[in-house]
Amino acid sequence: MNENNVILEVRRITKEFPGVKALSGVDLSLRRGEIQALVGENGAGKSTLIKILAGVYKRDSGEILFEGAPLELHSAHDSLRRGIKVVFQELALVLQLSVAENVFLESFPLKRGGAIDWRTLNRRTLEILGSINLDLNPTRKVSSLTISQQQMVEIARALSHEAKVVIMDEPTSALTPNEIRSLFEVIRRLKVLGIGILYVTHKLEEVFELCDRVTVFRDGQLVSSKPVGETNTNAVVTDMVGRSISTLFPRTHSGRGETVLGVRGLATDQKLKGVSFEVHAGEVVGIFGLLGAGRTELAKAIFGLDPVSAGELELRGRKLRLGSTSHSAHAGLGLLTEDRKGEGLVLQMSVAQNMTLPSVREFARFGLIRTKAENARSQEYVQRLAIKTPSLRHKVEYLSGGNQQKVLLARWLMKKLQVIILDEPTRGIDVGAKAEIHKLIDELAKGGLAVIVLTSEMPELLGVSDRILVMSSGRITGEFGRTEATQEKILAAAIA
Amino acid sequence: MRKRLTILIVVALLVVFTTTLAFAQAKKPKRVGWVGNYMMHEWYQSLQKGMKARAADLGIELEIADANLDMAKQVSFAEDFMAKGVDVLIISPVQTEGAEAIVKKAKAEGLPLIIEASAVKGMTTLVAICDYDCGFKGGVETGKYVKAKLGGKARILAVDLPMLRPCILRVDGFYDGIRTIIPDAVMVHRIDGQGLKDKALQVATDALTKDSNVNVLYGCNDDSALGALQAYKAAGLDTKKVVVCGTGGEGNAFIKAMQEGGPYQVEAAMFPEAVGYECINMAVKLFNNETVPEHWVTPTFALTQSTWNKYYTLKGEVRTINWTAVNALKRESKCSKN
Amino acid sequence: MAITATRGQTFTRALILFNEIILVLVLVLLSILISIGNPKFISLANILNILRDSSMAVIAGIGMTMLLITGEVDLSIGSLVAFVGVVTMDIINKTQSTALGVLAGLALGALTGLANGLVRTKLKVNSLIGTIAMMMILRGGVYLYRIAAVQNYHQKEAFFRIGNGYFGFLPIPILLMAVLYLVFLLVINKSLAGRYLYATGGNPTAARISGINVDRLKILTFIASSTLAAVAGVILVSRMNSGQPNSGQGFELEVISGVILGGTSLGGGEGTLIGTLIGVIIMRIINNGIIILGWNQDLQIVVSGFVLIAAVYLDNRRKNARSKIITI
Repeated sequence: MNENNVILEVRRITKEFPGVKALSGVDLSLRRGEIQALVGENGAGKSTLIKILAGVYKRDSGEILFEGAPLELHSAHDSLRRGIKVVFQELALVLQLSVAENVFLESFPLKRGGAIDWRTLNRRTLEILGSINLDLNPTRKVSSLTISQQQMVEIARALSHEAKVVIMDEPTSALTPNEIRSLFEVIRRLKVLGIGILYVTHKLEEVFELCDRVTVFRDGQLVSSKPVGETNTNAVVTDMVGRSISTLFPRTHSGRGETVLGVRGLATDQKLKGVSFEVHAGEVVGIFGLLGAGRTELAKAIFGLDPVSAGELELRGRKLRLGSTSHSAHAGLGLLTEDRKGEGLVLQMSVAQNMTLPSVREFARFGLIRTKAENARSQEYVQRLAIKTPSLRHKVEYLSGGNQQKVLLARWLMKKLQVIILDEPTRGIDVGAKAEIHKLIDELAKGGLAVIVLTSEMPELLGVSDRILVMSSGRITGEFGRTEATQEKILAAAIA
Repeated sequence: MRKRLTILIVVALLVVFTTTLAFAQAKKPKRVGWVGNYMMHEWYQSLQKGMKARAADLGIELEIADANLDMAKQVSFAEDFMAKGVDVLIISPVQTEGAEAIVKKAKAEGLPLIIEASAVKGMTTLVAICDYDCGFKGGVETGKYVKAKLGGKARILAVDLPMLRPCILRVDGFYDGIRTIIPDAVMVHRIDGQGLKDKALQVATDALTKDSNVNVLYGCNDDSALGALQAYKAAGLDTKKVVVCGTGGEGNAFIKAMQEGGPYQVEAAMFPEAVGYECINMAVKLFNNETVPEHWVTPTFALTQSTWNKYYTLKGEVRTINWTAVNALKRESKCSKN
Repeated sequence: MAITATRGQTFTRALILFNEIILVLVLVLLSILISIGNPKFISLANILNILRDSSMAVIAGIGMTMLLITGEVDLSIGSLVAFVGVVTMDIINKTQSTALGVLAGLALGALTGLANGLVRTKLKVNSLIGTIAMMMILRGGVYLYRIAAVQNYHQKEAFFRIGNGYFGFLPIPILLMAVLYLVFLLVINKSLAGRYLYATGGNPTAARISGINVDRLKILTFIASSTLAAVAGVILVSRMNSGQPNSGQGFELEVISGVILGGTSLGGGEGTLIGTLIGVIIMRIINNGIIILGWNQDLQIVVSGFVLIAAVYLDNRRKNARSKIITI
């Protein structure tokens, strides 16, 4: 056999975007049957490399070698045809078609005459599903599957194209623990089949559980690539961040002032079935729930984004008008939405403009905005939160995910708030930025705000909250203080 | 001798008496239906007035429906009238091809059908003006004015509507007419104003910037002529050195312009009221199975600032047509050009 | 889909960064080419002619730009222009006061804007359909009000001057356009309202969360837009010297074409007044040029159509390229 067993190799890959060098001279190699983790902060370059391998981006320079031969990719079709399959977070399935049709999309087995050979299609799909131990009816419509099952269909698609390399981008962000276990099994089967796997993730515990090798990116360069057995979490984090991170969840303050927000019997037509709780000044209340529990609906109902069918809200004893965002905003509520691009940022506006959006009136005289004052204040926050941006005028859509999130946090820090609701504040954000955001949450609470954090990440929940509420099917099913909370108790309440 | 004279007188009287009686007893249709195609337009508003007046005169019940530019609706209204039982049907076709269906149906049911405005294949008769001849008359009258008052050389800006053949005929007619008086008349600009005053204003302004040496402004309808005049004024040109001729006279705008005594000197009038009037007359004729020409031409005439009030009176915003004068106008037996 | 060749990438990048500069270049190039065909194009008379004729579309375009920035559109301005003309002339005839007539016309504009705004925010009908309905209502309405054109029975000097008068050597419509343009330039770029416009169009949810009353903002923008269109209507009736119920046809398309050519996106959240100004003028130059060069007038619609397609294509290209340059 060839002495290195290397199936995929990239050499001196470079890629630039306006204002940013995403990759500068990256060398990477992947062996057959190897599960290699790609980790790094947001903006470090892993996603860019994946997209180049997927044929979505064209590299500026360098070469790709596949099975020893140079590879030129012109489109996503190309990449799949050659044997590289990328499973993105946004799954690329046709929801209205069946499992079998998706698995063999573009390569349907045909009868003589051109009609689709359904029998063969379904049979071969079953074979492939069997090879990864997946029990699914090939004729089921993909839209009826869970996200986890849909992911499996994508992997099956890779096998139908006899992929030799499968790249997975943050595959577990929307999966339950059981589903994650199933996914790992499937990936191990792919390994047995000799397929090389690149596994992009932020979750270091997964790296050490599943992968053979971990490769770290930082600032567009490959910093280290070691077998998992020869390294540990701290070393990886240090490589990622360039410095060592002591604690992830610094909670310096555990005060509890007066009741700021009182929620009573809040219900909506869709999901919420009567939620009641209180939040105090200086307190961080963490709300946990599985997919569909109703956390985001709760946040939106409190803020007035969605209509409320029953219930009351009280802010420092005074009743708050429901269903009106302007009332909520003026009363001192802030909301960091789960979907930062779709609901939080105005992508075409600049960093400064996004930051000051709720507070811009402060900088206005006679209705005209004094940009000097606005920029000065924004600059303060850029420094305070270490936001990486070429300038204040930079359009916010060009920033990396973590920095965009910091801009949104700055937005709420800038305003004098009473209550802040943070919905998944560190989703899709790398370790380094995560820690900074947790520090900020701590600061917010120290400043006397009532802080509500909605999260699906257990470590974050346990580390950040003074009090934990658990939601399931639109209700609160459990409440635990910081010291008494355990993962098991919380999960039990979440499935109740 | 006296006896023979008496007999002569009696016979003469008898003849007169019986013919009058005969005419008085000429069959008149009881009900006439008219399906118009665009009642909102001033032309049809005036036409309607003439039609209603004549029908009332003769004691004919007139029913009017508006297809409002929808051919399918026109067919269905026509069918409704046929079902209801009108004695004569009049149609102002939305589309000449689409109207062929109505012509066929009417023939099948033996119902007398009059087409107003544009010819339809297979029709019995058309009541309409002659566009070419109308423009021609306007051209002649304008040429006379230019010769008498503007030095005898004619340079023309004509605002046309090339999408409609009748409009092209009017402009062609005008140009031929003016050249009978001034053979070397030049058509400096022939532009498309879409028949609208604001568009005419816009294109005439551009044309005048290109070449402002014109002394005749012609419009294929009044709005076009008036729009061109506005452009001429806005360009700062001398209104004493230009003559304006409009076409149609469907509304009061031209009367007002003439009353001002300015450059608007000629109106190639098409007398919409008379068209309506003649439709009813034609209805009587058809009802009595008289043979009629394929195109019954209604009068057109070039009005001037001194002659318009012989044919129209304007009180406030209501104008009344002078039937005697208009009916007395000679009309072509058929159009010179189609 | 891979990003195509690097040359295309650079072009699109240029589009995003230098949109206005490219437009100015196109304007200058067109002007040079047409003047070569007929030097009369560059004469002062023709330039004033072009600017004066564009003034109505630019003024209405200011409103349309603001509306498009918030993610809405108004197709009723053509019919509104006709109605405003008829009402203004009629009121001046009846009251012998130019001021009253003009006020009546502007009030009609504001009311129409209010109606459009309420239909959008309270009835939640999307503004494309809602304003098309308003367009039909107004066009039918003006004919019900007056079936024939309203002639000028007052001969007021002030009325005449609005569309035909001069301020020094500058035609008054151009002056009006300049004043309104500068005022709204300030509003859009420097005022709170302007910032809120862009936020509302760019991300209505984010705007709401930030405390912006999106409904109220949209209603006010509709009112501003229709009132500006009414100003255009007053200028037109003065220039035509009669209130024509059949005027203004196609005006909305003319304005929207110019606005889109100028770089304002149909998707909301983007747009500049300078782009609108240049876009409208380029469209006007094309129409004017065709007549000045003596070409077949039918080309006016054809060329405008092509220009519009090109403008929307470039707009799409800008939008797509942008969405690719996001996560790194």
